Amino acid sequence: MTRERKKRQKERKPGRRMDTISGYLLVAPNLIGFLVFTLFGIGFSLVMAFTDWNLVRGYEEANFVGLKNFTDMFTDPYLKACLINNAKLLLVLPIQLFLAAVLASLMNKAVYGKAGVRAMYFLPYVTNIVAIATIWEALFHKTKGPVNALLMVLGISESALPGWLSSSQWALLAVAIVLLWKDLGYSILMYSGALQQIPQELYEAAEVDGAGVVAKFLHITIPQLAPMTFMLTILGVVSSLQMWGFVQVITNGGPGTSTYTLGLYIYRSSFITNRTGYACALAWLLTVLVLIFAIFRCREERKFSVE
Amino acid sequence: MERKKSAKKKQIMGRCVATLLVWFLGIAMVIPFVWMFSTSFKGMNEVFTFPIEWLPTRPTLKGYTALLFGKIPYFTYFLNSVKVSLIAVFGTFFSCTMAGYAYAKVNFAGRDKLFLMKLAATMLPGMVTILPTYIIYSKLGLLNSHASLWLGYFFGGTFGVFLMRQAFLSIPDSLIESARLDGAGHFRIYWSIAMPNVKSSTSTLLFMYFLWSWNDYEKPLMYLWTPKLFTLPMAVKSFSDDQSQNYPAIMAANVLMLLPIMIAFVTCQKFFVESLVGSGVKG
Repeated sequence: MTRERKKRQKERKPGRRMDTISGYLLVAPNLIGFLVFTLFGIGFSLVMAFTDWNLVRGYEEANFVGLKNFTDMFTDPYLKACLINNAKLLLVLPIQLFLAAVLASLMNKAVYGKAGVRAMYFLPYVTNIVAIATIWEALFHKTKGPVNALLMVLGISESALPGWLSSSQWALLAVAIVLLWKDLGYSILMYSGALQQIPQELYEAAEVDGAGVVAKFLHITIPQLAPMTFMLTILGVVSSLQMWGFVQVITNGGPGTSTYTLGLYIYRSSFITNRTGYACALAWLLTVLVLIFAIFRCREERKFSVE
Repeated sequence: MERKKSAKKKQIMGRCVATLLVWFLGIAMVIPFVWMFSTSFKGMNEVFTFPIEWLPTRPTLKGYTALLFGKIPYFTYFLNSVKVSLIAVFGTFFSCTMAGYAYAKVNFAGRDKLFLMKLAATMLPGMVTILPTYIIYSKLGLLNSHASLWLGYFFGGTFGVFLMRQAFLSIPDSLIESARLDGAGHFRIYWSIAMPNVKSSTSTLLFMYFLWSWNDYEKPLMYLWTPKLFTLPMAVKSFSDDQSQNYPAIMAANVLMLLPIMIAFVTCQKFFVESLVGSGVKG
């Protein structure tokens, strides 16, 4: 057996070498990008996280400052505001995923004209963030916007109307609403694909046992969608923590620090306030947060599947 | 028999209720776009009338003329966007399909280790590499040039490579083997046998990267400072900051920025669910 395999390997060797050459040629562009931008980037950023690098002065002038960037984080009021805002924004994620799972399974089985309606849900996802921001700024306009006009029709008095994007009390909620609206279609699309892989027999067996629509959704659909939910949760956490372009356009973090996010803070420290070394350290804080979350979710997942 | 009939009736009822609900919410999802579209044809004073005029009573093209023939060189921005997106999509098409094919079908030394490394790197937030990338571009003299916007796409993004790898995996090995026995090399097989078999994933790939490069706001914000190099998102942003109360013109700019995406979206829509989702690839 082993000898046979060895023999076969020997026979294949010239072919294998050709395979290796053409394989590396085929992956070359991708590999170069990976080596230069990702691997070098990781190393460079990790080293610079321990310096007082300032983008204007250039990295040649940067000095090592030990752990200062990391100890500074504990007393940084901006960072604290960012982390609190990010944590609040993450509360939208379970709502978004639950809605998406319900809508996707309705579309999968029961809805007439599902291709059309799915396109409607997906439309915000393909829309440019600048367009989204300018549309919602107008819709959320404090005194003239349609959203508040509608609230007034519903009987909310003028003094109690929310200020939305222009009030530090409401801005984060407004951002969260827009984000929910923007990303819902993507999750629906992903769940739609996952739903098609659930074996029909599971539902048929449950029907024989007399399970209703809700019971089937809770006891078959949701557990069967768990791997996709896991994936979407991790992706959602990563993109939510590092999102910055969107908040830069819609509020630029304001009013005050009410919509500051970690991503925006990293961007601003890098390019606006030139605390570039500190920005590198913040990016690594982001990475650690993502990893902790992923490990936590993985363990949770394993617990589920063991049960 | 009777019972079956009533069960069927009940099922149809259920479908109708579900359809109504899902369509109702779906229409709510697109209302902001309807508002954008109708506002772009309004005069400045009719923007915020309530109840909302969904069909402007006195439609006007003033918004569009203010945008197209006003102070800003709109056509330059539009052509910048077209140029950058086309180059980006061209580059990503080759690098992603080639790498995807190699990871799926070429048995080269170190392949699995390499792929695993790429997989691990997806956990890394992109924020970590924005500064090193900025430094590389500045050393190459690419800052404040269009190349800083499209060059990254020539190396192929992780999403595209995974998508294409998954698509190529579904091609039977026997097809590749028989072509090899006929003496075809891997480049030949990739181009004339494998590629024609993954058309729906390729359309998804092209659409997604066109979407991302067309909509890209963050790269121009970091890398460009000469206004005439701006692509549409940056241009529309500074236009809307400048014209803060001229909502018809801002919405006209949004409509025109969205139009190419909508056209591409409608043409590629039917491929999404079958390739993007079914493959288990995640963006």
